[in-house]
Amino acid sequence: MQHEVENLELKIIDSDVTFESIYSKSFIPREYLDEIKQANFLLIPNENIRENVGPTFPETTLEFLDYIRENKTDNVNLDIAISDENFQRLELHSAVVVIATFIVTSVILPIAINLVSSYLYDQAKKHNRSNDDLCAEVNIIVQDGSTSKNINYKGPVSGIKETLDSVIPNLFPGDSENDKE
Amino acid sequence: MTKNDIELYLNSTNTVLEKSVLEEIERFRKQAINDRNECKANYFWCIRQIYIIQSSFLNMFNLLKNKKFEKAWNLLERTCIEISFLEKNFENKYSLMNDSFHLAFIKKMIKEYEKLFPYQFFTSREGIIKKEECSICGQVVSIRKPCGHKIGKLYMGELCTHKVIDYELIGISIVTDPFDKYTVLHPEGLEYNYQIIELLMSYLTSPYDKWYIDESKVIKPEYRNIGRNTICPCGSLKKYKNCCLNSEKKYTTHYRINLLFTPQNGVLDKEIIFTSTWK
Repeated sequence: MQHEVENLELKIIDSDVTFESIYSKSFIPREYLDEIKQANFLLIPNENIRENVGPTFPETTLEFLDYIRENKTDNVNLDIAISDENFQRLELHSAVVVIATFIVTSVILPIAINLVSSYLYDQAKKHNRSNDDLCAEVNIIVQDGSTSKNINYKGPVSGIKETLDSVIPNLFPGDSENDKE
Repeated sequence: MTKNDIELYLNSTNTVLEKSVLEEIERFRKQAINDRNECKANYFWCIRQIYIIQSSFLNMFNLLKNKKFEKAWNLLERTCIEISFLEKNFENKYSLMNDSFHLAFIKKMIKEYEKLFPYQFFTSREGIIKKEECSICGQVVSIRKPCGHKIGKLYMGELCTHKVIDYELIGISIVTDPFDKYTVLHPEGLEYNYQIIELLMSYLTSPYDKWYIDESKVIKPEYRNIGRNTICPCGSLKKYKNCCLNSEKKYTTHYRINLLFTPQNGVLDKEIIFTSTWK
């Protein structure tokens, strides 16, 4: 398990995770499926922590969820892909702030980046650290039509907004061609 | 004491805090709770927290003076945690930037003291939090039907926290940048070297003495005056030019302590050039 991040690391890869593929996962509470289907900003658990542990979310998830609920714009429909009974947090007690993986539509991505960055700036303040001195790990799946990309950022909080914003224009190249047309 | 007396007291540079003041603060807070005056109850929670922060900082200073370094370190971290509890609830009323109640000073000095401790390795626990309840209403925390109380916020003079009621420990890691800084590792047979902090403490007479640290990068002694073709001091058995010559590994952090007052025992006439983690 990763506890510390030394340098800025950005990985962008194709992903086979989509909103639709998540709906069929066993951790999705069937009684909330209709609500979850409305979400364009959906927090998803990590299924591969350890055998017999079940799906988990990072320790910051409750605070992160509250922060997004309070600060989101009206066009963001937020939800979390788990039931109350199965919600559990993995506590690593490391100085690296790990944000819950979430999937967003490409339209929402710029807002999601703003929200995540602001949340992390608040965390730095809370830990009596500068934005350069606090590291974070953020994993975002972005869906555009039927294709998805996975953006993984590990590095200082100070670099997160600029780095993630720089990804947006070329994330789905076909789209920008269409935009030009 | 009146509210103003308490505020004046906590704005003074006390080196010891009187317990009777804490009792007065608590009396005001409890009275406000009885009167269902939430604003006043929250305010006196903040004032009590300021007392706790100052007291913790002053005790930390005394521990350092008495060479109880690890206890001082733990209290330093506790002070930092107590400040984080306060900040969310207090900064809108009294900016920490204007040093009301010495809070900005204490917050800044915690970072400076931290730099002088030799600790490098810590433990970090890994576990699963399965169930927790809200300290305000006692309800089991729900993500879908939240009770409405936000962790870290004040409700009728009480801080909202979560009490973990179902937890599974799954491991312990060794880390260099921990969340819990009091988890210092003690390797068998090794003793930490507190030379720098001991030196500083010999010059400080008050917790409110002002000083700061300048940091710079300098070449480690083992890398000084060595030829490009000599074996690299890092132990790789490679030539220096093919190993650490162009890397950050050959540098260490140099701390220069600047005292912003005239010390009673005169100024330091020699500089400690290098000191190691262990004695």
